[in-house]
Parts: sequence; structure tokens; C-alpha cells
Amino acid sequence: MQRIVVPGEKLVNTPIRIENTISDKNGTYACVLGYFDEEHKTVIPLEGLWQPRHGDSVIGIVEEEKANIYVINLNSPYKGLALTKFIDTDLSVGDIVSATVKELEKGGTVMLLKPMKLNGGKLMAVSSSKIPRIIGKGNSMLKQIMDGTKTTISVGLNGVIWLKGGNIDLATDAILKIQDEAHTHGLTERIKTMLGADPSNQVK
Amino acid sequence: MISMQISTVTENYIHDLIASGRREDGRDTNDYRQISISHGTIPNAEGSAEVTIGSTKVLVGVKLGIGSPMPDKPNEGNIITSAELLPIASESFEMGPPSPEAIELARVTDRGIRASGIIDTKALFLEEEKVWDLFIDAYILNYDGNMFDACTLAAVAALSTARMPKYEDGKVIREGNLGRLKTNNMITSCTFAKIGESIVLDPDGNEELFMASRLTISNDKDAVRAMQKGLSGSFSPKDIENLIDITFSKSTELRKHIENIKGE
Repeated sequence: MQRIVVPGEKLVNTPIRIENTISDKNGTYACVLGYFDEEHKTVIPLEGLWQPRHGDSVIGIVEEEKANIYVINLNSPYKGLALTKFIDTDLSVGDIVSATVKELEKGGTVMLLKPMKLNGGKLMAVSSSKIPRIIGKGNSMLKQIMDGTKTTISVGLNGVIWLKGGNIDLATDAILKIQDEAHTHGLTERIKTMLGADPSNQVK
Repeated sequence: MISMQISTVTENYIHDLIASGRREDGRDTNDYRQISISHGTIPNAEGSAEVTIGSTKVLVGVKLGIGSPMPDKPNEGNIITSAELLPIASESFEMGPPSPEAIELARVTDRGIRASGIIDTKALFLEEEKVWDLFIDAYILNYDGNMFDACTLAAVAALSTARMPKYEDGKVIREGNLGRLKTNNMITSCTFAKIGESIVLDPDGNEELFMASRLTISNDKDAVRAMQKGLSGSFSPKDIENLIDITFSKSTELRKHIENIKGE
């Protein structure tokens, strides 16, 4: 069962390690406003910025070009760094790259691995706490949008989404709808109807 | 939120979209976003109004106080307009002294109000060396483009619904049965952005990032009263004539919003 918890609220009477919580010998307390899943013992924040973790795939904008490093804006208090020696193509300020988080460094920087330039298309930013819902279980939601609109979509866990080709407008609407209604039930069905109902979406 | 300002992908996307006659939110070139006005939001002010155009949100307060006249206009009251871009509105707004954008916003709003003669400054004269100071303070609560139209609309709405305090024996009476501040006219403004070769009305935040130039036209029922062109791009004389025509047709729509709250 899920219930809404507020910061400081006691979740369980024993100290257990859960993300977005703190614990002492008397119990575990929520640090954020979010959903607490008692079965799986997880706290899902309703809002919030992206916290980098090893292995996260992200999308960012090249902000600065230095001698052997690119500084990348990641829609977060953390700045991404990518070494030029790992990139085949030349990047310039304003380019979009997708990459994987390698490690966190001191001073609020994130080392990025395998940066790849994304050409053309459209960039949009959404709340990063809604990203898991946009991707869906085992990529189901994302696959549904991609199939329904024939758009190539790349989702960064930092809340930045890149779209190219197909019916971009419909794909954008679908993503915004998921963002607004992420907490409701039966969303997959509604998105299915939405994608199917648009006549301009019929692929010949 | 991530700043799209430097993103070349977003720039190209907006340019391509506008060149093909479409816009990000599905509007037509000469369409406004949803506009809503409420008034009386600040109980301590003589008049106040909150205007939202899409996601742009502006709060304007009108206050009257006693001051001394300007040396060149000894028989006229003063109108003092200021605008503040609050850091809560956008990540690009900073605390500190007013930025050039805030000063421009205040001056464009002020110019429209003065040029249209909404307020008769001679009527604000009280006695020798004493006049009413009329303060119009605009606060941007959320930024998503087109602050100019929102500010002008909110300022005119606040003025049209403001109370007029009384001045008796050197004291200002703000309580009790007060009349309304006398307004003689109604002004609205329309802001256009030139992106590539196309011109769009009511640019939103993303469109404002990549526009080459901007034109704000303020008009009342009869004539164009003020204009302001921003940024380094250009408009041809033919463009401007066209835009004036659009402004006149759109301003009837905007005036209706103010007339509605005036009637309440």
C-alpha cells in the first residue's frame, strides 16, 4: 500500500536504510514529500532535482569548452565534465550530448562517460522525479509513445528529453500529460487512447 | 530548469517551426495565450491587479502618497512606475539593483500610461508644493515571455479599479467611503517578436530567447500612443504598418478583459 508522507514523518519503528530517509535507533523518517511504499520499502519523491548516481544516463547541453574538457549543463546543481579524448566528434557550445555518469567528484562535478552528440530534433525539460513514470516498467510507456508517434526519443534521468522525427507535437503532448498525471491510475490506457485518437498519427 | 538559451538544437527547432507557420504550443502567429485578470489582490494598496498570460504572471499595485511636484511641472502630480524582476520568476533573474530589462519594462509601461492620458496629472495637484504621487509597482511573479503586455494590462486594470484616498487638513484618509481614481482612457499594448523572417504576436519564453528583434505597440481606441523596439534586429516600414493593423484588431480583445473587471 502507498501513502503520502511529509518530511519528518516516521515510516517504520526500526532503523532501516532507505533512499530519501534518515534513521536513528527509534525509527526511520522521511526527508522528502513523497509516496511511501510499505511493501517494497521505498520513498518516491513527488518533486525534486536529480541527484546523480553511477550509471545514470543523462542528456545535457555543452556550456563551456576548455583545453581538454567540456563542461556540460545537466539541469542540476551538478556540472558534467567530459574529457575530449573520449569523444570522436568535435563539440561546440550549445550542442546536445547524451552520456553516462561515471563518478561523482568533489566540488559538485560529475564525470561523464561515453558522450555522444545528438543532432537536430527538439529538446524539452520535465521534472526529473517524473522520469521513471515516463519510461514506465521495462520501457513500456516510452515504447508505447515511440511506436505511436514514430518519434525517436532519448530520455535523460536528469529530466531532459530529446525527440526527433515522426509526430513530435503529439509525443510532446503525451510526455507533458504523463508529467501532469504521473500519480494517477490508468495512465497507460489514457495515453494509448490519446496516441490512437489523433488522426494525423495514422502512418500510411 | 535547464537553460535552453545556449542550446543550438532548441534554437533551430524554434526557427524551423516558426518558418513553417507553426508554434510550440500550437497557437497561430497572431494569437494570444489564455489571458486572465483578477483585481483587488493586495488589500493595502489603493488598486491592484494580477494578470496571467499563459504562464507569465504579473502583479501590479497602485499606491497614492503625498509628495512635492517636479520643478518643471509645479501644478501637476507625479506618476512613478517601477518594475521588479523577482528571482522567483526565472532562473535568469538575479537579486540586486534593477537590470536593464527591468528598467525598460517600467519605462515602456510608464510611456503608454502617460502618452494615453489615462491619468490627468493636473487633477493630482493638491495645494502649493503638495501633489499626489501615484506609484505603479509591477512585480513579475513568473516569467514565460511577453512581460510588456502583461504589465501594461495589469497596470491599466489596477488603475481602473483603484480607490482615490481623500486629503483633508494635511492628512490622508484611506478608510471609509472612497471614490474611484478617475481614469480617462484605456491603453493596451501588443508585443511582436521577429524570429527568422516571421513575426509572431505574444512570444513565449522560448521564443523570446531566440528572437532577433521585438516591437511593442501601445494604443487606445483612436491612435497609436507609444512604441518600443528592442534588440538588434530590424522591422521594415511595411512590417510595422501591418503590425499596427494587427494591434488595432487585437486591442479590442484586450480592452474587453479590463472592461469586464471594471464593471464588477
